[in-house]
Amino acid sequence: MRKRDWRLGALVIFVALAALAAACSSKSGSNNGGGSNAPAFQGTSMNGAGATFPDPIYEQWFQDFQTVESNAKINYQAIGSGGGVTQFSARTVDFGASDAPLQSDETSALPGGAVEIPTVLGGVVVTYKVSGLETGLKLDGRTVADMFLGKVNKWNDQEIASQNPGVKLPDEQIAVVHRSDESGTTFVFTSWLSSQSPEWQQKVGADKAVQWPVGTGGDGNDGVAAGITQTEGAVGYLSYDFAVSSHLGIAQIKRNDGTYVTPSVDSISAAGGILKFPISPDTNILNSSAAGAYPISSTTYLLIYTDQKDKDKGQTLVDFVYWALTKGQDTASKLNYAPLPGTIRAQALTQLSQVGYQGKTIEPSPGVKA
Amino acid sequence: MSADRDPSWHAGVPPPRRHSRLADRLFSGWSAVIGFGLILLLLALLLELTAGGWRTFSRFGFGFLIGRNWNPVRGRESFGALPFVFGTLVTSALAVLLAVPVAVGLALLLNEVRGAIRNPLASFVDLLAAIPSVVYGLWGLFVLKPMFDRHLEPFLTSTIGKVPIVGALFQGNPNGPDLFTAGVILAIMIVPIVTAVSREVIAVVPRDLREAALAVGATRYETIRMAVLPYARSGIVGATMLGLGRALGETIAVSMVVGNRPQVGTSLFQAGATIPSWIASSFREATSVGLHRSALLALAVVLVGVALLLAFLSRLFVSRTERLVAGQGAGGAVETEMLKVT
Repeated sequence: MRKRDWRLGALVIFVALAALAAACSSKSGSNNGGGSNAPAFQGTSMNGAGATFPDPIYEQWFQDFQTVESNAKINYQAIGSGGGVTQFSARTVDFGASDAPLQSDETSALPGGAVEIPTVLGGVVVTYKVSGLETGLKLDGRTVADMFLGKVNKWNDQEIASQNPGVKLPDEQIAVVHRSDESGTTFVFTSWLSSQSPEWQQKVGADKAVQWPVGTGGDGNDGVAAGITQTEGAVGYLSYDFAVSSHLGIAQIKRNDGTYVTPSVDSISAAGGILKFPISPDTNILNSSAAGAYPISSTTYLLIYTDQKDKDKGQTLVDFVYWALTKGQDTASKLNYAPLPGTIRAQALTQLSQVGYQGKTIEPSPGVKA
Repeated sequence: MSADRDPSWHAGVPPPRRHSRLADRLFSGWSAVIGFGLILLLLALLLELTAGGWRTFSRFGFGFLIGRNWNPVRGRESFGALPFVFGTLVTSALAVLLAVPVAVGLALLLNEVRGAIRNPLASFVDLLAAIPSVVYGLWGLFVLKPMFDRHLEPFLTSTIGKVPIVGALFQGNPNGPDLFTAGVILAIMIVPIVTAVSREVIAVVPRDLREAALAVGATRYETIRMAVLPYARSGIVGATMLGLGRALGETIAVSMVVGNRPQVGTSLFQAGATIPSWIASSFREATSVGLHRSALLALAVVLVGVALLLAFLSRLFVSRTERLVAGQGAGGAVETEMLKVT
């Protein structure tokens, strides 16, 4: 009697597992949308994954690009730069995206040659909310580092006052707000602080998340923005596109040459002028020496294999990147991303010509050049 | 329904019984699958978490539980869970302390009061439970926190803050996110569930117990205190544990108001961090390499450990009070209390 019950139980388990397996297997397969051989190339669908920072502009580009090639349905998953590199390396996506250049161990782990192409630029902005204090406070790197180290903890501290003659600074506590999640924005900001303050470099260092000496954490750009808005005397850092729409005070940052620069699409765009190709593991545009450049600027890259396995996908990818680096750049500033400077666009396009299919360079379709 | 087509019907074998035996077996088999499946799932989950966090456990050992540092910078890694355990326990304890008296009072009201107010009130409380936690978080951040910063917290500092020992809880800068705000938000979030369960428990208190109390001249309040509450006590403890479980596991609402700062201190007016909110926000860049990810998984193991420990303690507590009540006899307890009164 008992034994039978068990046998029945086993049968039920077996049936359940079989049903599950059937359900799983029926899902896979049949995912190849055939490219039509119409006179003008209409692209094909493909997948990408990676950085979250450029996600809004990429989504806009993918949408706009469909007016050029109607079948180019590009699906992008903003899972973070780290995830993008991993998936790209495993070839589970057709292209990757990362805010940081590939590191040497990442490059050697790739199954084939790849090219890194910068697409847009962004900036990290020091923002604050102090009643009676208008936007445009002047700050140098050391002061910002000291604020985030907790050494400068009053808004009327001498270090701030000496850079802002004539500005009435309140006798108020500084409340630091930072990101609590891992983020490329934090990486750019802490890298810049490390470049400006030896003490920061030694005590805290630079990474996507660090051990903050003082302050409270907000989740994501919106979390930090809300934290600053809700706390009197708060200072924090935001990605430029967020800072513009948040109506908070935005600091002018001192360049290494001694001038102060307000973050803007133009000053961030100017910072891209120092990009050198090919992109190397230590490429960055922090403290850019280019004229008028905003010091805390960063770039983001698309990762593309030079040897494409699928002719149509390769063609669509080359067409898309060509289009993004030319016509697409105009859209960037509308979404508060900074476009690449003209000279850099041209050099990025020459990088694109490394991408080929069976040993032959893939030329952009006439449609995207028009 | 298949009886007509079944030839055995005519052969004299009682088909309802056969049918029910098959159904019984299917049912018990299926129940066994689900039951064991759940246990397996929990074990697999723990195993997976521990395996993921193993590198952290083996590197820091016991130090992980008592360490106060959390430094994810590559090359300077150092991880300790203490500030997170501290923040989790403090906010949850505060939530339970604030919520349970309110919830039990509400449950009593909903049981005792007859009339027009009862149903709307009950459904209103249930409605509170249906509000997504992110809404509570936003409300806490934009409404509650500024109010606390400007009015409640300075007031508490200048009153209770002056009392020795207890006053230490209410010191410090009221500006900014803190454990106190997080605890209050959690309290509001768990009131509905504690109320709903307590209400059910109180509703099943036998009528003769109440009537007995009333018959010997107890007032309504005395009836509640001596007949209703002792009988419902273990159920209310259970309800509290359900609420505590929710408070322990809450991520987003806490993350918005707690300040996400791993530190241990005496004041409720300082920022803190809880395990779930820290894991949720740090895991955003899901595939980061290095020890950080493993440390987060180890933190998850600690959370499961804390939750299991609390569940175990509550069971112990419930069974002890049950034995206490059963030993005297629920009615007996009431009777002895009654004698004291009269």
